[in-house]
Amino acid sequence: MIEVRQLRKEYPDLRKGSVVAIEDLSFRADPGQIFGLLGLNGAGKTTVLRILSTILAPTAGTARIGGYDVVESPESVRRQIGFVSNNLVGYERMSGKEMVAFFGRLHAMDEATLKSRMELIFDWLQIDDFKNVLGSKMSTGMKQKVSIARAIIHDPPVLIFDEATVGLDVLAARSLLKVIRELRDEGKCVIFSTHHMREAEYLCDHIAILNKGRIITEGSLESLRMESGQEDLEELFFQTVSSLDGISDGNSQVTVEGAG
Amino acid sequence: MMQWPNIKWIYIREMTDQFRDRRTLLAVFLMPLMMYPLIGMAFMMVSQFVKEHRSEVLVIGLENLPPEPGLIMGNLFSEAHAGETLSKLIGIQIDDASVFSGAKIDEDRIQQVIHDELYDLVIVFPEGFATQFLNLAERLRQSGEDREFLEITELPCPIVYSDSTRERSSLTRGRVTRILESWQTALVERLFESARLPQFLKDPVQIESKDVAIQEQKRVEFLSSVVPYMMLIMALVGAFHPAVDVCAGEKERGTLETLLSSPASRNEIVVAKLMTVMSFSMTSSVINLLGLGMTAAFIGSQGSGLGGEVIQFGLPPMMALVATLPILIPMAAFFSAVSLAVATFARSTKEGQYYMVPMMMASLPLMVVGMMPGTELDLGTSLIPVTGMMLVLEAILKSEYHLAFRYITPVLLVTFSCIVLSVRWAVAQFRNEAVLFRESERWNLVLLLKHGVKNRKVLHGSAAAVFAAVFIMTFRLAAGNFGIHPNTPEALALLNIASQILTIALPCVVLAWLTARDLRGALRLGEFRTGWVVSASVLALVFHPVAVYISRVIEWLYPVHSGVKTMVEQAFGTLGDADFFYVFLMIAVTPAICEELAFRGYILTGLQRDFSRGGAVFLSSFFFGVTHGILQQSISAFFVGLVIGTIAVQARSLWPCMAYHLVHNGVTVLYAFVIEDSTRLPEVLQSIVTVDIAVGEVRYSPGAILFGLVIVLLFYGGIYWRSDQDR
Repeated sequence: MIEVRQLRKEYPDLRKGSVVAIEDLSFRADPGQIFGLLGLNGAGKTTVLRILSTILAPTAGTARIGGYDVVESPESVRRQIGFVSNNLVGYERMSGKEMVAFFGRLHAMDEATLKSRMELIFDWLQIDDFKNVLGSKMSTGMKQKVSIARAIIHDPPVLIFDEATVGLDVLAARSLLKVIRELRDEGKCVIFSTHHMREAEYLCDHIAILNKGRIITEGSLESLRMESGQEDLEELFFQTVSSLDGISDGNSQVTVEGAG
Repeated sequence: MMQWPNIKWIYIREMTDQFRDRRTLLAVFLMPLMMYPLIGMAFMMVSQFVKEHRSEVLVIGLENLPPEPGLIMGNLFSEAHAGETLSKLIGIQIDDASVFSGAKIDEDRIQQVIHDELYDLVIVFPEGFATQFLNLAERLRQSGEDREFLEITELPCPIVYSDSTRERSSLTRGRVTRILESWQTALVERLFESARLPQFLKDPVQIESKDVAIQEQKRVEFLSSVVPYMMLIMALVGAFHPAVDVCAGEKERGTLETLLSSPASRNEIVVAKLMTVMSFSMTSSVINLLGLGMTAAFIGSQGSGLGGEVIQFGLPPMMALVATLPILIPMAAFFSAVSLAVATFARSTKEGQYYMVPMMMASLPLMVVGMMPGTELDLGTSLIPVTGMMLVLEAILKSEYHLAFRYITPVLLVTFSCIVLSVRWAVAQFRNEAVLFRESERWNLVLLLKHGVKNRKVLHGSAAAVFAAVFIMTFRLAAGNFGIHPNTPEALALLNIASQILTIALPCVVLAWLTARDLRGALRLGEFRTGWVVSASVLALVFHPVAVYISRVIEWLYPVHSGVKTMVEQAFGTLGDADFFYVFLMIAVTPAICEELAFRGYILTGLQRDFSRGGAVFLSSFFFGVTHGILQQSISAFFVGLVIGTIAVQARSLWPCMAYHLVHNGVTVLYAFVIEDSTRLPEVLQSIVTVDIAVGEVRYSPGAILFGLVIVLLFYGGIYWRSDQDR
């Protein structure tokens, strides 16, 4: 479903010329699977997900979703995905219902389908009580629910969650994780980034640990535990990251002088 | 392929969003509708204040006035001279004892009472005025045909004291002067009567002035020039705020990513946002016009008494007002696209608001030029963006449809080119990741400079390049006002050469040394490749006819002001007697080295780091043009700069640019100082070029111009093809 090969992304930088955000990144994720992208802040998680959502263009390498290339046919890719970012502010002067309907219409859904789909989703996510509340009046939990409703309104096969639990209280975070599992059970391919190891442990079928733009280890939770001999994912993470940092400290950020 | 439904949904969403924003509603709808009536009311109140405010006048020496004609009746000016209204507005105090005691008039005391605002004005009638006047009248009456009275001394004059820096005092002065003039006339009439002279002799030659303006046009004159200005300003302001909201606001709220990952393409998003901004731009303009119109109509209906003698507030005819609306659409589109492109830079709405001032600064001069009384709609002005449109609007409002119709084509062509460029810019901005997801940079000038010099990179960036350009412009301006006028032409040439080296080349070399580690690279002093140098020289020769033709067209469109001509002649006229060597050194060699080091060397190289090739060449040519000072020269220098800039970028070396510049300027010097006349040219060339230095003219045959144009187009075509191949 998602196929990423040797992806590389450089950002221009005023001081250094350019900064490499991700490098030589390859992985795949399948339907009915929750793929966890783990890493510290600045590891490149958001960059990967933004490339998958066609918001950014890769400097090199390919990414394909449902067979479509993110660079060659971004429009087709966008129809395959639902993107939930960590930024929950949303449109302040629109109600949840309007927001969801707006994105449904952009996905060329006809009004009848849109209506029935909205009813279904609002019921499932328990949005009905506040569907007419304006964005500026919603609580964080409400915004998160609307955000998910917006992302799944067109029933996309792939869902991308970029640090979606950041800023949520325990209860809201739990209900979000539950929703994500249900989506997986429906057969969606879910890609989920977090720096929260417990969440990954609880949720993900397959985990890739990202450090300074590269995947340092990847596999199912069991295989990762087997390999490292560590039961606890957080311990495992720190072990891997620190052992790597000891060797390649300061080398992972390549700067290209005078480029551009 | 654009999906119209996507555009429609985004447009509807943006509009709904804007309409739900109370601030927008207030700024776009309520403010103009309330502001203008308020301004109108304030205006009326002020004009009433001016009219009804009482003046206090002190009169000294009333007893020195002749009884007839009577000037003062009781404590008021006589209605015969002042009229009923004015008479009641001036209170008169006679002979204030504190100011006037005995026969002596104390001038200091008079000044004092005016400064202390006890009185607005003091009139002193000198002693013996009445006696001497009556005496004069009597002698006129008695004298016969011989009139031997002419040795009499002049009458002593009354003195009026007022303070022009005090509003009320100068207002009073205006009123009193009117009254005194009427009284003076009456006095003169008396004298004429006494001398038994016909009255008409006191003003025998009268000049009658007749205003042939059609009453209707005179009435609308004021508003016809103000309305276009208001319309465009409001179109710009009305575009800017929503533009900031739909761009920076979207970034700020974090909805940009969700929108970008939706099926709507970037183009569709830009078009929908542009339509939103345009809608507000036009609405704002029209509503302001409505507010202004209603207020003007109201003030106009209050009669001419309210400042109506100075300004007439007649509304242009409805038909003309409606005709301006279609013109408003392209203007709103242009302003909206520019605002959108500029607003995309902003990370937050707050930052976006800061960009308003530079936008205004850039567009206001264009509007003010259109407002200036001397500016008329002709081919030249119609080609200036914004200004041309303003003049067309003005013509329409004055019902001069034929004039508007004649120039609407060039104006629309220019405006549409501006729209295309600005929309492309906006789209490019929306496709530029660096702009959309701009990280914040910290700005600290001293730190930045220290850091910049210490950790300077291989090559400098556009900030340093722009700095250099501004530096050179300022230096050139200062050098121009230095005020040294050498007396020999050779000295003049040497001074000019020195100034070019000091103000153009030296700053760039120093800056290059400070800001880049690769000094040669920063100045583009790459490999000397004979092939490129020869080709550039040939291109300069071939393009020379086109360049000469371009300057001719420019001078025809925008004739050089005679004052500027004289100035240039005064400064450089003596050069005609100079030795050819000096002139060649000054006009051809030095600019080829200095200007190339600066503009194609340091500035273009820096710009290329942050701009596309085309953008960098365009900007460097713009700076190159501006440094030339005189508008007509600037425009032709800009075009030549484009060609040399392209060579620089393609050849990656400055040598061909210097060769081009040397040949281009050198040929001109050759024509002017060596050939002087076509007959001196070899026969082959005579059919191509006509030189007549006596009238200062070099003309190429149309064939040569066309050939040059074709070669340059082929040159650009080749470059385009090559870059296409690279891709």
